[in-house]
Amino acid sequence: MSKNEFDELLLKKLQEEDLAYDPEHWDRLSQLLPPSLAPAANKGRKWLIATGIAAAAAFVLATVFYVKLMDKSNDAFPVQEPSVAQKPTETVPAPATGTNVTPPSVQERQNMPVPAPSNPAPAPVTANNSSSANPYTTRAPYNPAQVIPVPVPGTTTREEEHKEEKMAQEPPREQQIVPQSPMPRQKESPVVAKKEENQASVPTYFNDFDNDGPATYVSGAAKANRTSLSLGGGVNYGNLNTGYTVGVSARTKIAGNFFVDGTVAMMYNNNANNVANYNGSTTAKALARPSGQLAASPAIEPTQNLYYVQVNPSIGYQIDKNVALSVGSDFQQMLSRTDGSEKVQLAADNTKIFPAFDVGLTTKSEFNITPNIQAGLMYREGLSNLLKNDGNKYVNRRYFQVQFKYNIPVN
Amino acid sequence: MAEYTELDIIEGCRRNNRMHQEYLYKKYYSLFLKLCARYAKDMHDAEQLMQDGFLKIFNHVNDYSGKGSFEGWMRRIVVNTCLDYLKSKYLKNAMQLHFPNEIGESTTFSVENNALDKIAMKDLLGIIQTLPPMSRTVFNLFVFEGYTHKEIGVLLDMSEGTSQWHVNNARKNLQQKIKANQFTEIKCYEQKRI
Repeated sequence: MSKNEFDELLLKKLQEEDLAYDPEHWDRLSQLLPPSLAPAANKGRKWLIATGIAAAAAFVLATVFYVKLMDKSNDAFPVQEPSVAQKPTETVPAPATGTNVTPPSVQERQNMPVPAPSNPAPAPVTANNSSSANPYTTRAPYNPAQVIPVPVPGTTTREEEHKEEKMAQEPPREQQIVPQSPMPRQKESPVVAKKEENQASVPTYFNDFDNDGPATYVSGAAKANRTSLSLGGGVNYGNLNTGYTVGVSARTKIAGNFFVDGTVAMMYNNNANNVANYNGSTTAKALARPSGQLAASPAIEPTQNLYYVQVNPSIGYQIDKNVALSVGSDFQQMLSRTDGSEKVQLAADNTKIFPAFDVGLTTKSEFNITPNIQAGLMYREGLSNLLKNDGNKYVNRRYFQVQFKYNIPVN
Repeated sequence: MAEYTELDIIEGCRRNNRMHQEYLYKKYYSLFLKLCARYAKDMHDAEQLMQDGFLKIFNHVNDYSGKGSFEGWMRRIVVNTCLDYLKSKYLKNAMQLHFPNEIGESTTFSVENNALDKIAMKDLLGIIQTLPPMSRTVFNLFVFEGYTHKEIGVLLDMSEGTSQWHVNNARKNLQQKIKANQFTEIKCYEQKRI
């Protein structure tokens, strides 16, 4: 006996449509399943996140150290006055006749010995050149824009200077002058000017030669005080995590626009609403029973007010004079209850615990209202579930915090 | 809902990953609920059997060796769950019935194509649920699970002839009720017993 056509039609009919999915069935089933043991996929993902965070922190630290190293290396090559400012220690021989030379600067000319009048050749270039070296490679920057006094006829030095000035108007024909000093010339031949542009990657200290001269360009933040203390407070807004904070902070500049900031604060978490909204549901249902008798008090005894002590180290960047961004870690220890059993019951089958020791990440933006008063907005994300790997049983203490600080400069 | 491969689901279920378990549940919810509805006497029992079946699947997913399809492996678990339930509740006495006059009789029935076209799937399920428990079970095993009469005989401790009789009996009953359903609306899902 085999299946007949009727059986086939039945099969086909039952495959025609599906039954509607009821999520309540899954909810009931999931309660019967053994608790999730942080599967490897999630573990892998969590390790990936942790590795990413560590890599980001390492990158930030490496950037800080690199910037600091660059500062040190720049300090090792301080900007000096042009070598021409150094007084010559020996007499430089005159160049050969017919050689095309670049006339010295005014300062240099003042320091050079005056050649004999019978010598039509221009004065030697610089005191630093040796006879065998190219006399023009160590030439100090020439500034033809400077006013050259007209030599008085009959005055040897002036006449020579005048001649040299005339010669200086001509662009160098044979050799290109490469200034040793990092101080760029204001007027240069096109070739040299291009080289200066290509050297723009040299630290920006030297780009701002219009106002402050070499090695004096400093960002507005860097001009600010390097270390400061501040007193501040804030208000937290978050699901299950509304409250207040008050504490002290210390900030110090480390390199460039980077700074490190540390905060120690007391934090108050208003758990009263959570108790009323969530933990109180069991009690409310018990009271509604026809017997009217109050059932045994629930096993959960929620604390109305939770207190934490908070340590929040962070690293930041001063974007401009008034705005800074920072990221950091956050460690909070519960003071009001240390047995780690402070619970909130979000639903009949969903109980979460406020962690006694909570770890989180913070990101903050700060704005200077006045030089001493700062406003900030911080976001905190809890990491206890990620780090403790215990089945998401902890309340994720995430919240926004609006904060105000009063800064006290130290140095 | 994110898409996972079967391998991902199996591995996830082995690791007790809720996400993968829920994905599997949703994917096979309709299939296994219909399967259980064919064996149960009403939808309430069918839902309970399906839950039990999935529970066994999740608890024993590590026993899946990879031989054969995963769906076939799950299907066998669900069917066995249904059979265990039926054996414990309804089939004890039914197994003791004898049908000496009708054993071996092969009956052909006229195919009511039009009637089947007009009936809804849910109504058809309801009609199947009204069949006598043993006939319903044997019919399901033969028509839907593909068991032979010999295998059914071993499974339910009956002869091949008895198995054949039950299949014929179920067909006859179904055809009669499908015809009757053309004139009567059967609301199976509204008759869940508490």
